[in-house]
Amino acid sequence: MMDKYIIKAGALVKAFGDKKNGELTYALNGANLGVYEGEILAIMGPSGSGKSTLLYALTGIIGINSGRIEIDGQDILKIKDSELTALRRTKFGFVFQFNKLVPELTALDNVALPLLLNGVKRKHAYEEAENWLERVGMKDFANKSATVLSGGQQQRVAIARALVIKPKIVFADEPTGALDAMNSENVMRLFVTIAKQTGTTVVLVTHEPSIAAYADREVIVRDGKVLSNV
Amino acid sequence: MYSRLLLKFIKSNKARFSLITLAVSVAIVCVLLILSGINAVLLKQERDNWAIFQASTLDEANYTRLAEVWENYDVNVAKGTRPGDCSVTPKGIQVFLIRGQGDSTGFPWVKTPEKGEFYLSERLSEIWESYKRGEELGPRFDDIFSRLGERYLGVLPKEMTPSPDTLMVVRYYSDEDEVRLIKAKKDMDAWNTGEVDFCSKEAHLLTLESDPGNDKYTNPQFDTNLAQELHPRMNIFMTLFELIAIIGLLFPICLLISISTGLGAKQKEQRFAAMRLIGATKGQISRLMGIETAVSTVIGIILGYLAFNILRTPVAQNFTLNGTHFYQDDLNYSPWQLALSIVTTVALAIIVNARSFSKVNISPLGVVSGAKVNTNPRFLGLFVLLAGVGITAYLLASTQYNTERSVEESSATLNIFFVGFILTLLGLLLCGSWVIYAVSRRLSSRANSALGMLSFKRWEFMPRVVFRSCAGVIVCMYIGSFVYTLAGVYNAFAEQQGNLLDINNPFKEIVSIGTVFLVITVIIATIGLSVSTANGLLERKESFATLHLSGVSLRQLRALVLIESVVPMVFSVLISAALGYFMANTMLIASANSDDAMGGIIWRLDTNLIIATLGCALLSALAVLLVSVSLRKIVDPLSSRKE
Repeated sequence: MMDKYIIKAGALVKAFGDKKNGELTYALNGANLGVYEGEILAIMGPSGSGKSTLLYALTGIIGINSGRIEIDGQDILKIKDSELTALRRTKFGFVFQFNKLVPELTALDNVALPLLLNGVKRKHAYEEAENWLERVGMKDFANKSATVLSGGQQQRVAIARALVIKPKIVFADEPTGALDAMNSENVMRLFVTIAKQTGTTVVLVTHEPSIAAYADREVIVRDGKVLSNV
Repeated sequence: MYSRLLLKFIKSNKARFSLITLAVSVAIVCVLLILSGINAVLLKQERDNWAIFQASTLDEANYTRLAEVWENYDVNVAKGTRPGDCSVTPKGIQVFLIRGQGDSTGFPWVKTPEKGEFYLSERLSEIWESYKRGEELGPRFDDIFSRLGERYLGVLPKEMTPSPDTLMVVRYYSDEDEVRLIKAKKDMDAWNTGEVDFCSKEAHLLTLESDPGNDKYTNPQFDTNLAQELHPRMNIFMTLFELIAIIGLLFPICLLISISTGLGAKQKEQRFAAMRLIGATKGQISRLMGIETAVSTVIGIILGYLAFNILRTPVAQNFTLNGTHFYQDDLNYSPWQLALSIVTTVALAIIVNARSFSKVNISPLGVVSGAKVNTNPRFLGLFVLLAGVGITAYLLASTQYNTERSVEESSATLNIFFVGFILTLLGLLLCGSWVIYAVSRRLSSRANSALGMLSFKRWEFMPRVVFRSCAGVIVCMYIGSFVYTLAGVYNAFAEQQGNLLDINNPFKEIVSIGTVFLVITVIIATIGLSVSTANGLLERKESFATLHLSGVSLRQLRALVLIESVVPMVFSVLISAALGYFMANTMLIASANSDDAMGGIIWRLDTNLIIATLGCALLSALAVLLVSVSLRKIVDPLSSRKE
């Protein structure tokens, strides 16, 4: 399974700042990366190295100055914004450090939301969301508001939300950054198990080696470059 | 330390600082305009009182004052068969006839005119001067000396001239005048009994001493009692006008200050949390916040004061009441009124700020406490609304339009009506958030689309915030549509039937004044909605970024913001405007008496009201759309991550 690239990115450059004043900061400076289908890849690196910028560049959510990004055979820099939005809606899932659940919604609503966005009927969307909450051990909290859940519980809901549409790729930015060691371990174990069961590719940004250890492969980002494929 | 931190805060919170300053300056301008407007109206009334009423109470013998006596009888006499058909006559020159000797305490400003002497008001004097220069003036001023007198004494002082537009002559009351007025009164009486087919305006205002046995009529006097009854509705309208000015303007302003102060509350919490982390006490933070508000309030007051003084001249030049302008000096305030406005505005800003500060959650560890428990709004306010609407509906159902009703009966009904009117307004404000909560709860459980669900859940989760952004518009549309409808019906009635005693139709102007105030309040309320929407966007930065990452396009996000903000606003506008309309017509039906023969035009829908209602809805949609332009920046995951 892991012989085909699902993500191919080459010579990525992303600079911030004012070009006129010569105060440019390069978040990405010629980064290259390949991600195999079905693998769990950890992107590591010190704070400010450009790893999160790389992650968001891969999703097309931030533009880059130069380079090329191909996802599942599609050059995402050449497609329209609406197509990119549709791509994110149907093929990508996201998990963040601060879970970013929609606070007005219940746990169940949060998980059903991506399905509703994809036009799935309400009844089916909520049944599917309930199944996923059961898989992540959150069925009893289905009707609780997102704001009253603990950090670990919120992250479980976020994982269910990311996986409910059966995405090809899940992008995770420091998914356990806000959790204690025990919760981090529980969440990562659950995340990796479900990803493996469903064959989902996971691109994971972290600076913690213990979290990166769950990945099939690690790359190091420093000064905007991908230094090594471990 | 404070000054440096303050400068940093202002720099990093330019938008919030500017909005508080703007809200305060708008508040100051509005308060000063209301106060100076009321002062101007009172001063004008005082001078009007001289012109109409004071003369009849002059202490000197043989003084007679006749208001609204027309110089040219051809203009003044209108054909008609019944009193109601006597059409409105064009505006003319008021001539006051005075007969007296020596100086009078009731006429203290100038020398009493003697035989052949006359005074002119400033405006009339200008016209006369230009007439003398041979400019086109029309036949009215031909041979003016033969009618006014041979000796021009000069311009009447301001104390005797209600407005700069007043066309007024004060002249000696001759024996010929007395003969003429007795004839006019007799003609009027004859017309009333159907003997002749014309009527004259001034005759209505006259009383005569008569000895019918000898067919002798003497001593025509100005009937002050009759004059006081000329505009009974005008008094109601002045009260309502003040109500709409004070409540309708100040309520949205208070909300704007409140909403502006709360702008960026989350960022503020984070900032204060960081300060607590490095050892700042809650007292220090409180002082800093107080200084921040005080600075923006003081700047707002200065700007508001300057803006008022800039606006004063154009307002005095363009604003009219009863068809006449104000003297610019009249549009003024006393020092204590200015002090009171400043103290009230500062107090308001401090109270609002302190209230918002009490809600800021700062942990000593520098961590903003996460879960905010939202309590559901109470439905008790619904009873107040139902009581208000119930009273009004009962009045409507139990009474019918009746011009035979006595004035006492009509007043009693009016008192009951106003209880219903006030209860309805209070009820709207008290139950608004509960209604939003209850309706959105029901809708969200049925929503099939993601955007629908998100909107309904937002309303269900934060009904008070949603309602607060609409509350200003609810008040101004409710009162506005009430006054509009009432004035519209009276205006239509006056135009349709004519008015024997009315020179200017005051209701036309009330409608215009109402329009200006409605526009101002709607603009203020729209600014409030924009700030509230902007605040909502900032507070939900992460949610929007997540939704965008999950495949919701920017266009869909804008639609979401538009639905969330504009739909409650549009409903609020429609409901409050409809209730105001309902109230006005109920009042007309339930309190009609013999003075109000206007049954045929009740339930008439004013086009301006429809335009104002739709305009308000469109303006709010436009404001929200403009604010939602910032969504592109807000959904940037990197900027969201940095928060």
